[in-house]
Amino acid sequence: MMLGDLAFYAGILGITIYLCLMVIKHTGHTSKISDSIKRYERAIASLQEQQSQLKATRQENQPEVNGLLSRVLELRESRDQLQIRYEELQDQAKTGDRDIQVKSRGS
Amino acid sequence: MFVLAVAEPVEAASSGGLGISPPVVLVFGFVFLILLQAGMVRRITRLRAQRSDCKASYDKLREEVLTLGEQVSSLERARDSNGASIVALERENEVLQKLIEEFVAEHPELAASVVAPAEDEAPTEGEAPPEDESGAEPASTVATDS
Repeated sequence: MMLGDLAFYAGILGITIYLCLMVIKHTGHTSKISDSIKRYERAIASLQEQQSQLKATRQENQPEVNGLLSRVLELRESRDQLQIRYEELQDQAKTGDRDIQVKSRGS
Repeated sequence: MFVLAVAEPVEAASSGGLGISPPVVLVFGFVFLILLQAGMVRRITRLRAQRSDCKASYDKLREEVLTLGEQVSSLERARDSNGASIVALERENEVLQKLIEEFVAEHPELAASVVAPAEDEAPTEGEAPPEDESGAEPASTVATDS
């Protein structure tokens, strides 16, 4: 066998081994990526479940909070009215006292 | 080209039985491996694209879940805050009503001028109206739906 042939076979063999190694490496890489995709898919499923639960909770809480808020607004309004009425009463009482004093002085 | 060049020595060294020389096997193996390699590279590229899609949708979902979580906790805070506000305001209203009743009791002549329900009564001059201390503000900034 000529030296050139030997070198040729050796080269082919070398490249073949190299390609085999590459294939093995790629297989490992592929399985890693596949695992990562599976993990992502599991995480996505869990997040979707969580999302639907949160949406349900939000939907439950929203009307309750709105009701409470409108109750607060009503109560504020009635408090303001009561305060105004109280102040008016005080003013009226003061005015009445003054009238009485003026009348008593006049008479 | 290489195959032709190798053909002669191959025949000489042909492996017994099958009639296929090792160099030919090597060359075919080489070609097969190249094709396999190309296939794997394509598969890896596809998987990478799939993974980045998954990552993008995961990130998006995660963001949405975080936002939803914030909204839910904001609603819970708003509920608590509104509850506290309601209690404080009811107490305040009771105090005011009592004050008005006492006032009207002291000044019965004013009872007629008051058109209000039960809380219209005579004024007592010494007492100041209760301060506006509705402790907790209603969380009117209720989380909005997305």
